[in-house]
Amino acid sequence: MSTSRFRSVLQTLADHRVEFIVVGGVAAVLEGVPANTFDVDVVHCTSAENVARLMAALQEMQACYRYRPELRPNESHLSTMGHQLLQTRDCPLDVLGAIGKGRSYRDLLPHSHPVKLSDTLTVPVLDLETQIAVKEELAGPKDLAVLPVLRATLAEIRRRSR
Amino acid sequence: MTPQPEYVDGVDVSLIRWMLARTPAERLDVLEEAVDLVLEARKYDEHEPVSIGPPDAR
Repeated sequence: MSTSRFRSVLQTLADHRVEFIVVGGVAAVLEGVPANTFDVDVVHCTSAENVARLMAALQEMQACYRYRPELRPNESHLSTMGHQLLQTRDCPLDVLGAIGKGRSYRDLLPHSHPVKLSDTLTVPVLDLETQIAVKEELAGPKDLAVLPVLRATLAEIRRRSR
Repeated sequence: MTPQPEYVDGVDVSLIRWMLARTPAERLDVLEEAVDLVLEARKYDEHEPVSIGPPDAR
């Protein structure tokens, strides 16, 4: 295990020209939230072309289902709005067709912005306002627990920009 | 006088300011180093071996 596990997953997706948006805990951290997470969450475009690229990236990462390691994701799984909870050689990876109340890649794209992680890696990240809106929609125990720190970070960002 | 921590809704704002002072790449470094630290620490708990690598590497 190296300290570049999350970068490695994002780099592989980018190398395969997968259309995706970083969401979840990694997106929160990239936006400045002092949070912790053990997986990468992405929402992907479910077009046939993109699913083919995503399949190639997942094969390179040796992705399998976390709770059924003998199973590999296929085009059919990745073409839905469902959540594919995968394990890669680097770290857990959740590949999500939609989040919140049915927010798909196309819905979220206008609420994302590019974030540079290295000279060779720039990824689209869901903005903090929309991360908060999604958590408010879901309103599960995990979502409610993280909302105060998301809101406080957004408030601090707004205070600084005044 | 000792400076008092500033909390908003129970959240330590100094941590937020510390993160916001970093670039996104540096924030990701912080996260990855924290994950490494937790996994390394948990290696010492023989009753609960934890890995975020592939299942066959556990």
